Amino acid sequence: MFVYSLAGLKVDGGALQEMELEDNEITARLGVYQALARLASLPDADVHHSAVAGEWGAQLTEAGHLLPFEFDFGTASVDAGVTPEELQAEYIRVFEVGVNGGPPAPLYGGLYAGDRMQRLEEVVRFYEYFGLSTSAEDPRPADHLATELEFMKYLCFKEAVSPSPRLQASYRRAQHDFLERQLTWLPKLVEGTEGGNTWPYLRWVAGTISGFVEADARYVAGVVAA
Amino acid sequence: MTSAAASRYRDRWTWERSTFATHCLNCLATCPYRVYSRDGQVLFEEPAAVFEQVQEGVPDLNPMACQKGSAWSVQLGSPDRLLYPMRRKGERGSGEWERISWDEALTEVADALIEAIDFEGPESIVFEETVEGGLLAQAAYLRFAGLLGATTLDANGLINDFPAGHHITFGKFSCASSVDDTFHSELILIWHSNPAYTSIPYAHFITEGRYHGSKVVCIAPDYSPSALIADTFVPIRPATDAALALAMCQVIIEEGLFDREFVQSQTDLPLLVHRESGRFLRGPELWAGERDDQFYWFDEATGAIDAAPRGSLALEGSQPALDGTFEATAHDGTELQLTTVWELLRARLAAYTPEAAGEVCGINPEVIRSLALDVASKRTKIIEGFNTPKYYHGDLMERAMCLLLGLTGNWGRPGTGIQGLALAGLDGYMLFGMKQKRGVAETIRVMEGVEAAIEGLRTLDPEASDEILGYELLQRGVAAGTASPPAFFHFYHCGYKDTWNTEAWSGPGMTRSFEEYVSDATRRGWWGGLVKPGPSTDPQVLFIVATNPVRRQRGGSDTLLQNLWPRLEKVVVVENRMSATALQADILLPAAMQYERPNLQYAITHSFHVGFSEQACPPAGEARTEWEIFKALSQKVQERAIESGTTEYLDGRRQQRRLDTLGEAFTAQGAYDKEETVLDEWLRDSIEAGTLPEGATLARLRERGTARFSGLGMFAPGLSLASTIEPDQTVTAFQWHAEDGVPFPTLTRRAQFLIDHPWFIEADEALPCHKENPSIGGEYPLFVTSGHSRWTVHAVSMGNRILSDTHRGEPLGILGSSDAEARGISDGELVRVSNDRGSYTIRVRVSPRVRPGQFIVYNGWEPHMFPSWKGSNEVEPGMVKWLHLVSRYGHLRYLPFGWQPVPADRGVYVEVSKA
Repeated sequence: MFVYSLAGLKVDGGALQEMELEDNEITARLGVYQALARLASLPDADVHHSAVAGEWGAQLTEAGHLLPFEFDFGTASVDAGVTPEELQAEYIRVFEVGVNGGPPAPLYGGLYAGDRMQRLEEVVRFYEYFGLSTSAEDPRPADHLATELEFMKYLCFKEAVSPSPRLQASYRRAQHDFLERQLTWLPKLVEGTEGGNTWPYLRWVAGTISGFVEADARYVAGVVAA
Repeated sequence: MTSAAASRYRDRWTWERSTFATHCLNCLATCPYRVYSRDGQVLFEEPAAVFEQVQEGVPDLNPMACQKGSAWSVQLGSPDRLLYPMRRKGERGSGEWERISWDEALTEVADALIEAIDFEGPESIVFEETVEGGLLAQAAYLRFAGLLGATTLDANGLINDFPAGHHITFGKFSCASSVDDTFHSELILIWHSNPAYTSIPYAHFITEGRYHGSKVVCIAPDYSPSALIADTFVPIRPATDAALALAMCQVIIEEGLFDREFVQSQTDLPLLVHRESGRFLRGPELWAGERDDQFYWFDEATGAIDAAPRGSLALEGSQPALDGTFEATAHDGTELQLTTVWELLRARLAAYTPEAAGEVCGINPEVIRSLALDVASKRTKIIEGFNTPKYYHGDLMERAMCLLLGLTGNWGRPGTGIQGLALAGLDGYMLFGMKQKRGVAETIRVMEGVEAAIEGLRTLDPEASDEILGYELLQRGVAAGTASPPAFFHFYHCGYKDTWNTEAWSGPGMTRSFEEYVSDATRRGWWGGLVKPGPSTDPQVLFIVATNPVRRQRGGSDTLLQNLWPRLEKVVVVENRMSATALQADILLPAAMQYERPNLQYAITHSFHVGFSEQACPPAGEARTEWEIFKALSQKVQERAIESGTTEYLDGRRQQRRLDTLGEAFTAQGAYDKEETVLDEWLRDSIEAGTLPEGATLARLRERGTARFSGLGMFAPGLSLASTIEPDQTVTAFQWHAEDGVPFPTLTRRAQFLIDHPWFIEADEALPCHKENPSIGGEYPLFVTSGHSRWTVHAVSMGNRILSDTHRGEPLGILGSSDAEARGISDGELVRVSNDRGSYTIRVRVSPRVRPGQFIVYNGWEPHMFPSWKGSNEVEPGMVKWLHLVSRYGHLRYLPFGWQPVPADRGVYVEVSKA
């Protein structure tokens, strides 16, 4: 059972969808994006638990076992003595606030684009055209990495459940366009985590997300071109 | 220069922001410009030159630009800008105004609309349609009018850019290839057009084609500016172009130079007709129950009469006879005496030998023969423009031109065809009106609904092409829409009845008065549901958005002001400048100009690129964009309707409408609150429909300024180009017809040169012929020709002070030297131009380039630029050719922007004398 939920976004009309999805290449990608969106979010207790246990690599591999392309998720962990609060603090330092002059690796795509307002407008339009709006309950901006990954998850979900082949193709093209035009800033995110004092676990998070998105973009481009 | 002065100079050009924009669409180029601004002020603009080369070896489109676009920013701060809502204080046209708030203005307009609905019904609210403000302006008022159930007057019936001859021949009028296709031509005929003035951004392809080895021939009455870029100038007596074309056809046929297979497969010329009546042999004559639109030919391969395929133009081994007479037995036993359209045509062309036609056209017969040989042996393109449709018998001229191309295989191959109008399928714009809410799922739902409807229609006619079915679908949509051919509005409500009944100004083929033809056509139901407001409905509110009927109205400005204006409760003008029409308004609503709003320009495919504008600066004063204006007006109508209790009514089709939700309906419950959301939606939907490439979103246009179309989409206006768009090829119209055998959307499914409608037969216009221009305006010695001037297209740039400095800055008529001398008129004098319709005064230029008997007045001048505020339209009765009242004959039926009666404004006769 896939219970559909979105971080930072809400489905127009308000109702969340809940339905059985068969395991296939699309839902494998969907599952990976869902897991990556969690990794890109402020770590909660469950995320912390899996991070300490070093289970994230295995969880991602399991979610993506039907992926239509090869991808090695690797793995990383945090020290057993790290508390959930300490993991959150490091996440906030690296990705959200920083200490001097902002975070070394902000998670907001617009900050890498030059004109953040325009970037925000573009992603919001993207969301709206595909049936989503930003959620008032979630304070994360529309260009937050977790939100953008959630959007990719949503597009995969819509592709998986659409009754119309044309609509499926449309959602595939949307994935291609979003990957090509919006999620292009991740190498810079990775660069930002490569400073000496970023925890290896967070470097792995950034690197894994960036690497997977790049691999998925290549795959989707190939599918669309075909 | 002091450092301070140098700094001021440098600062003048120091900009903070660069955005892309385009301007008017009048020459159909929609040129991309970069607009440079600082502190919310536009400083200057320059051609963007962003086009990538499409085809190797073919020059690119850069730079698409002209002096009008390059001086556009001057108009943003022009003294005639409308900055505030205003209400008329004195008499209409008195020029006395009071400034009012937007709320006051909208309240007054809303109340007038509610009253009009209450008194006369929503169809008494009439919108003058325009294309000038771009797609977003058009979408705004069309959406508003559609929600009200009002009347929108078809723009092409107002401005007459409708090439009726193309429509008669091909079943459509969107026939132009991309402008760079001209480079492939071996022979370019600049015919009835003046691209050196009117198509500045892309006329260079003619010159480049010439460097490439093509021969350029300019056929015009005067030694026009375009004759300068031609190898050969063929001076022709005005309005005798059909005779010239038919003489060339005669030579080509008699010399055996025609392309037999092309004629057999592409045209109706092999089809069988009755020898006596000249009417087509139709299905039910041979077989009871057969389709009425099944036609026949004699197949020499089988030696029998066969049904001409309706689903394909491919001959598939058939050898349809062109020559001969045939006999058949009807299903009721009647013996039928038959021949072919080809034989009828040959008989007709016998009157058009080069010698005979030369007498008519004033052209040496050897020149005609030589031209004919060239056309028959070269890839030929006719650069026609929109001059021809504005002649009374322009349809005959165009039909003859199309015949010339049809005989010689000159369409559907690179470098061929006829260059008039082409509408691209920006399908997102088409889908917009059908969507109930925003988003891709709704888009797909609508698209699949359209496809299902098309498939439903296909069951009625399995052999119909997608294009034909698209037209069928559009036809059904029209019946439920607001559009109306304006000729009927003018006839019943604007005082044209007497004018159009003037026998002396009409075609000699008429056997009844124009009024009787109108009665006959409407009585037969040919225009059922399209005559709006009906004869018994008084128009109440006239909305004029970004157009200028008082300047351009054929018949002179007084025609409207004396006949229509007194009957109107309210005249509302949405404009950016104080035009001749704005002066006559009750309420003026100031609109933003290009650069002050985001927009997409009308989807014209001459460049095959989208015209895009980003907002570079805020609207001047309190001006608003049309979208904002009609959004606010919707909300105000809703508010006032609820207050007054007028919340529901039935429209002209007895459909229930609501005013108490109008505001929400306009924005689809807020989804289309922002203009950029609408544009974004159009672009994304166009990508979905395949007319734009993936990624051609608003963000991409902001970066690149334009995007090339990738397909023709799913709707008829786009599909009519009938060509696959390849990323690395210029676009050649009619490729699907010529190469793939896809049928034309005509009655016979072929390029149709025989129109066997009784009215056409009665008028002896069943086949193309030459007819003398009627004595429009009376028996006077000078024949008026016109066209767009070099400095403005229409009146849009007429108030631009930079442009005014580049010409004499006032209206100008050009008279031949001998005519001037005979009248004692010198260069620079004021002259009175008069005929039985009216008169005006204009300064004259005397020039040897104008042929004797011709008088040129380029159009676009505002009335106030003339003494007594009377312009050149004072002598133009705006006669309408009665045959264009025909409808419900195959492809001769109303379509938006398409087949309809339209007024002629060229070819009036005048006398010129010292003022």
